[in-house]
Amino acid sequence: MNRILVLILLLFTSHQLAVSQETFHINGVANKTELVHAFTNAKIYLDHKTVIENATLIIKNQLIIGVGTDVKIPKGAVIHDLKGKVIYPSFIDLYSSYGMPKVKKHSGYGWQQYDKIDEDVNGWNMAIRAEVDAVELFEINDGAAKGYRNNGFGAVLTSQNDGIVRGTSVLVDLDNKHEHHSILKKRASMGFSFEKGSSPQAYPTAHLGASALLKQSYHDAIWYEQVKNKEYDATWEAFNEFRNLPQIFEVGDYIEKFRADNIGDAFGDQYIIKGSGDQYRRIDEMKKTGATFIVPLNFPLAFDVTDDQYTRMLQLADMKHWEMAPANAAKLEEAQINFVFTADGLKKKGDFLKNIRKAISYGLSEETALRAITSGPAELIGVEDQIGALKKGMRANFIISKGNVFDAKNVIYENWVGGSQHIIKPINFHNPTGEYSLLIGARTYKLMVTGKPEKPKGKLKISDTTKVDVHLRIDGHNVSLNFGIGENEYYRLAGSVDFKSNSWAGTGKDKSGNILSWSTAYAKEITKKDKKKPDKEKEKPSVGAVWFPNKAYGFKEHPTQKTTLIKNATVWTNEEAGTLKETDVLLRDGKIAAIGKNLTAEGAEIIDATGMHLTVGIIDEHVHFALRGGLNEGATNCSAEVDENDVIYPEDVRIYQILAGGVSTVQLLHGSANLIGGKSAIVKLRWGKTANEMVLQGADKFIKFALGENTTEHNERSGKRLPGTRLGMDGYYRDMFNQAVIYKQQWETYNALSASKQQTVKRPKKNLRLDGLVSILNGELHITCHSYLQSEMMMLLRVSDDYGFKINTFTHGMETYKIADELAKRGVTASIFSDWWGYKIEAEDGIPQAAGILFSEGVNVCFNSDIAYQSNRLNHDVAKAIKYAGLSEEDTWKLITLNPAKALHLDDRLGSVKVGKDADVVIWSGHPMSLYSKVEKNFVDGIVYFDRQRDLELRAEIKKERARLIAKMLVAAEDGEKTRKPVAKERKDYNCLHQ
Amino acid sequence: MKNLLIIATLLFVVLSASAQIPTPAPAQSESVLYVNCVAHVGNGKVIKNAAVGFVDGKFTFVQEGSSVSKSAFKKVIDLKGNHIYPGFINARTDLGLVETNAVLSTKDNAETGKFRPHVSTAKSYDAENMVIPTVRSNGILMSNVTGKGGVITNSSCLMQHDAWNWEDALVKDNVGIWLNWPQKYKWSWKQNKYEVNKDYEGNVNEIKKIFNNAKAYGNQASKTTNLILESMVPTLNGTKRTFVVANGAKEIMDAVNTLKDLGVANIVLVGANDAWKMTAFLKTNDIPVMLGPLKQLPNSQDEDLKIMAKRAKILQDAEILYCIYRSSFWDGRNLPFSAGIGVAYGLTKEEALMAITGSVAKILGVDDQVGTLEVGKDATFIITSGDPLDYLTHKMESAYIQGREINLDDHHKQLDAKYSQKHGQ
Repeated sequence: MNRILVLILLLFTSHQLAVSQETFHINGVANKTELVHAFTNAKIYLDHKTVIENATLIIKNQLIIGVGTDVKIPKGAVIHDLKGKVIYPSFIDLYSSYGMPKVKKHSGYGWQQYDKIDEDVNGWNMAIRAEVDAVELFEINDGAAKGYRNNGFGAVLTSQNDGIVRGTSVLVDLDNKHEHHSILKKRASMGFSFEKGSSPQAYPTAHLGASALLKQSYHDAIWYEQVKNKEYDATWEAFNEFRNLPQIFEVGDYIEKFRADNIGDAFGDQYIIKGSGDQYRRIDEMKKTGATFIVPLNFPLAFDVTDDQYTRMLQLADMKHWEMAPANAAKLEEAQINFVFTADGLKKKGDFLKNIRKAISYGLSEETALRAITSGPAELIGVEDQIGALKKGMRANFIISKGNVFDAKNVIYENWVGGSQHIIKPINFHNPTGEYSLLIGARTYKLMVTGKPEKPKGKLKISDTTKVDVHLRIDGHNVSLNFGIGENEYYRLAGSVDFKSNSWAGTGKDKSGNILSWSTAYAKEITKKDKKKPDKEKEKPSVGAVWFPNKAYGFKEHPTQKTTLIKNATVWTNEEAGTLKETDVLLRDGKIAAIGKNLTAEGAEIIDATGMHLTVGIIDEHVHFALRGGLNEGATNCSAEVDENDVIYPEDVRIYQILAGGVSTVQLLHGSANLIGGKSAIVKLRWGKTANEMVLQGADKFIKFALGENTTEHNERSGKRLPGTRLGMDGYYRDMFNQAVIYKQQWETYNALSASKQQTVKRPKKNLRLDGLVSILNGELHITCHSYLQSEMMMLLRVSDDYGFKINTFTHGMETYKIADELAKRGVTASIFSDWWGYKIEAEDGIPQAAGILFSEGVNVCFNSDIAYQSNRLNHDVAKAIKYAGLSEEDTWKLITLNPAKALHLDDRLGSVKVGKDADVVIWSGHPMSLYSKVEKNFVDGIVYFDRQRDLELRAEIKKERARLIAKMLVAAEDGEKTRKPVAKERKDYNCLHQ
Repeated sequence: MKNLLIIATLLFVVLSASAQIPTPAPAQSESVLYVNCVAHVGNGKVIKNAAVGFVDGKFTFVQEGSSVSKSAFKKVIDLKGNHIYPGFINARTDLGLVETNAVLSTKDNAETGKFRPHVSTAKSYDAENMVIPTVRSNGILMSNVTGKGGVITNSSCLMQHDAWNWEDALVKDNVGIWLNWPQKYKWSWKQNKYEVNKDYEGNVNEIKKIFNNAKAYGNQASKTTNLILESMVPTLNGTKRTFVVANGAKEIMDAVNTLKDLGVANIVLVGANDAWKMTAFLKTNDIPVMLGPLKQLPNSQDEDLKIMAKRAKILQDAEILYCIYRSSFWDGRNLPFSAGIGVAYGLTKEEALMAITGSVAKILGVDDQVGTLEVGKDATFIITSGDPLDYLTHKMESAYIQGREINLDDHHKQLDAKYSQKHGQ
C-alpha cells in the first residue's frame, strides 16, 4: 500500500486505529475515546479444549481484558449480546505468502547462466536467500486478507516462499488498517525447500544439486561465523542470525521429508515440515522422526470414471490417494504426531473448513482439529501467549459463530482482528421468510416468502391452483414487490418493513397508474417438507489399506526373512565349482548358509526347484531409475558435491518390474552431462522399503565421470559451458585436481596446528565439491567414467597417473576393447553394453564382440543396462556375449553378476552362490539366459521380493482395488463431488545415451 | 611432401579396409538342394528331415526329403540336421535411411511437410549403408523401409539387403502409406507430463480432408496431376496399404472407424499397444496388426508386468493376423528375439517365427513372392545350427537372398578381427 494513501486513509478511519497509531501525528481532532466491548451470554472456546457457557469476553483496543463467566462489565462498554452464539479464537495459518510481492519469474531458460548476475552483498547463489526479510516486504492486501478473514483466520505467518533458503517470515494479523498495526512478530521463522524458485542461475538444475547446495550453505554459514577478517556477506549474516528460529521446510511429498531429515540430522536441526498431506503412507516412520507437520487440505478430486477406456489410464496410486487424503489428519492424530493445518494449496479459502469437516468425518477429533488451527500453530512459532486462545492480556483475535465451526451449516458472523470488527454476515439479519397475508386495496392474497434470508423469493397464491411469481426485494427496512395477476392486473408496490412485527406496509400503483396502499401481515412459518436423505456424513467413511508402497504391486505386509531350503536346482555358483546339478541351497538370516546335496534344515521353508536353475541375483553396474528430480546436476562442469542417495525414489514401480527380471542390486548413477558428475547410490531392490532402507550399507562410494559428446553438448550445440569440445577436457581435469591438491594441503596444514594456533589463522572453507575430489585422491571415492573413444579414455588414464588416483571403471566404454591391454594392466573394469551402437558418431565402433577381446585380455568385463527397460532383461541381453563374443556360458553369466560385484568392490558379499555371501538368489524356470525362461522367485537378503505366484495374487488385488475405487468414485460423483478427467501417465525413463 | 602423400594413401587404404561393405553376391548360377535339414516354413509348419531346393533364385522343392530326386540339382548339400528358416522381414524400420542417429547429415528418414504420401522411401535407401550388413548377419534379409514424422510420413518400400543400389534392392515399391494417427494425449516436454491434445479433432479432420480429396481426385474424368493425391488414390482401391500408427484404445477405434468411413480398403494397424484390449473390434473389422517388439515392461504401472510380451499370444488366440517389427534401424538386428520373447508367454516357436516371416509378407501383400519356404517364392532364407529366436542359441551358418549366398561379414566383425589381432589373440 502506498504510504501517502495510508496517511490519507488514516484521517478517516475508526477510533481503534487512531488509538493504536501511537507514534503517528494526527492531522485533525484527537478522537481518542478508548471504547470497551463486552460480548455477553456466549459460549466461549478459551482454547481448543476449554469451553465455557454463558460467558463474557471483554476487550479494549487490541487486547482482551477479561473473559469468563463472572467478569464485570465496565460501565460504558459497548454490549454485544451473543446469546446462543459461539466465540472461538480466530484461526492461524503458518504457511502463506499473504501480503508478499509477487515472485518475478525470470524469463528464459536458466540452463546457460552459470554466474550470479545481480550486484549486491548477498551470497553467490540466488536460490539461497537467507537475507530476505518478509517484514520489509509486507504490505497489506485487503482482498487477500478478506479471503482469510471470511473463513475465520485472524493471523498468518507469511514469507516469500521462493528458493531453497527462503529467509525469514513475519507473523501478521489480517486487519486492513496499517502495516504497523498488523505485524505481530517479525522474523518468526526461517524457510527452506528443495525448489530453486525464481533464481535465474543455472545451478542447481536438479533436486540433487538443491540438496548439495543446502548442505554447502550450512558449511558456508558455519565458516562465516567462525572466521574473522572476511568479506561481508548479507546471506550468511542472516543465515547465522536466524538459524535458531523455528525452521519450516516445505517438501513435495513424504519422501522428500526423509531427505530433509537427513540434512537436518547432519547439522543438528529439526525442521517443521510443511508437507503435502500424504504422511499416512509411512505413518510409523513419520512418527519416529519426531517432526511436526504443517498439513495442507487440498484433497484431490475424484476422477471421472464413466468411460472405461480413459479410466484404464488411471493409476491405482492416484486413486488410492484420492481415497486416503481426507483420512490423513486422522491417521496423524492416531499416531500422536503433532500437526497444524494450512489453507495453502486450496483453490478457494472456503474449502478450508469444509475440508477439515471432511477430515473430521474420517475420524479426526474436533479438539485436535481446533488445536491445529489455533493454539497448535501459535505454539510452533512461540506466540501462544498472544494468539490462538482467549485469555486476559492476549490479542483480541476471535470469531463469532452461529454454532460449531465444524458444523456444515454453521455461519461465521464476525471476525475480530486485533480488536477491529469485521462483519462477515450480520448477526441479527432480519429473516423475512414465512407466510404473509397481503392486502392491496380491499383484496387479500396469500404471499409465500421462501429462500435465503438475504435473497428471498416471493410467490403469490391466487387460488389453490394458481400461483404467480413476485419480484421481491428487501434491503434493510426497504421492501418492493412487483407482480402481475392474469393479463389485466399488474402491481408495483414499495414500502418498509417493521422488524419487530415483521409486517410490511406502503403504497404502490396498479397497471393504470392508480395509487393504492398495501400492507402485509405475518401469518406463520413455512414448514418444509422433510426430504429425508440418508445422512452419509455421520457414518465414518471406510478407506482401503495402505500398501507399501501405496500403489500397484505394493505389499499389504512387508515380506519377511525366512530360513529357506531350495532343493534340487541346477546351481550356477560363479565359483570354481562351476554349475552344480541337483543341488540344494540353504538361505538363513539373509545369508547363503549351505550348498550341497540332500541338505536338511530344521524349520526351513522347502522349495522344490527340480528342473529349475538357481543363480545369484543380477547386479546392474549402471542404470538410472528410482531417482527423482533429475539425475544430472549439469549446471556445472564438476558436481562432485551431489549424491544420488539424496534423490532415491523408492516407490518407482520399475523396482518391482526389474526384480521380476532377476536383478537384486543396482548402481544408480549420476548422468553424463558434465566431466565430473556426482556420487552414485548403490541400492538393493528392497521393494516397499524407504529410500534409506534400500541403500546398501557399507558399500564403497563411487562417482560418475563423463567424457564425450554429452559433456560437450554437441547434440545441443549450445556451447557455453566448458568443455566445448574434447580439446578442453584434459585441461579441465588437471585444473580441478590441481585445486583439489591445494585444498587438501590447506586442510592438512590447518589440522596440523594446535588448537590455539588454529585460532590465529584463517580456517579453510569447507568445499563439498573439492572434498569429493580429495576423496578421489585419497582413494576413498572411486570413479566410473562414461566414455566412448579410446583417445579420451587414455587421456583420463594419463591424468589419473599424474595425480595418483585410479580409474575404477569405464562405463559404456565403447572402445575399451581397443585398449584392452592398458585396462588389464591397470585393473580397470570395462562396463559395456551388450550390442548398442549407431546412435552417435562416438558409438560407431561399438561392437558386440568387445567382451570377447576384453575377457581374453584379462579385463574385468560387465554388461550394464543404462536404462530401466534394459535392466529387467539383462539375463537375455548378456546371452549376446555367447552369440557374438564366443564366451562360455559360465563366463558370460559373470558379466552381470560376479564381475559387476567386483567392479563395485562388493564381491566379498555379492556376486556368487557361496556360503557366507548375501542370500541374493534367483530361481529361474529354466536356463537363466534363455528367452524362454522366467524368474520364479527373486530373493534379496533371503527375502522373497518377487514371486511369480504372488505376482498373480497382487494382480488380482490390483484389479479388486481398482474396481472398488472406481465404484466409489461413481458414487462420489452421483453425490455431487466434482470430478476431473483422467490423463495418461506413462513414464519416460532416464538414460545417458542421449542427453 | 611425397612421404606425406604415401602416408595419406596408406591411411586411406587402412581406413577404407576397416569399413568395407561386403560385395553383393552374384545371381544364382547353379541349382542347389539342401537335404537332411529341418525346414521351418514360416506358415506354422515344420518339415523334419526336409529337402529344400532352389533354382534361379526361386524355391523349386520344399518337402520331406525322401521323395526328392537329387539328380535334378547340380549341388546337393547335407545339412546334418541344421535348420532352414525364411529370411526375417522387418515390417517397419528406417534401416538404410540412417547411418548415425545423432549425426543429422546421415539421417534421411524425415522429410519436411505434413503430408508426404508421394515420397517413396526406396530412392533414399542407401544400399551401402554400413549398418545394413550388421543387421542382415542376424538373418534379417528384408525390410519394409519407412521414415518418421509428419501426418502421412511417406510410402514405404520393401527392400532386400544385398544389393548394389536401391534399384536392385527393391522388392516391392509403394507397399503402403504411413499415417500417424493423432494422439488424444500428448507428452509435454515443457510440463514433463501428458496433456490433453486440444487439436485432436482438428487433426482428424485434416486426415479426413486429404482422403476425401483423394477420392474426389480419383473420380475426376480429366485432371491436372497432383502428386500427393495421386499417391493416395491406391489406398482407396486397396492396391496400396494404409499403415496407421495408433496405440491407445480410443485412437485405434477412431482410426479404424474413420478410415473405414472414408473408404480406405487395406488398413493395417501399427504399434497398437492397446490392441490386445480390443480383439473383438479388430476381428470384426478384419484389421491386421503390426506390433512393436514384445517388450518386458508395461507402459502403465498398474498393468500386468509382462503384458507387452503377452500381446502376441492374445492376438494369436483371437485369430487376428499380426506381425512384429523392430523400428530402430541398427537395433533391427534384434528382431528375432523380439518375437522369441513371445514363446515364454504362450506362443509356439513357429507362431513366433510367422510373426517375422510369413505373416509379415501377408500383411504387406507380398506373400505370393516372399515370406515362407514355399515353391515359387524367392529363395531368401537362412541356415542356422540352433534356434534363431533365442540369443542363447542363435547361430547363423549362412544366408541366401533370391538364391544368392550372401557375405555375412560386417563392420563389427572387421573391428573384432582387427583388435583381436592387436591384442595377439
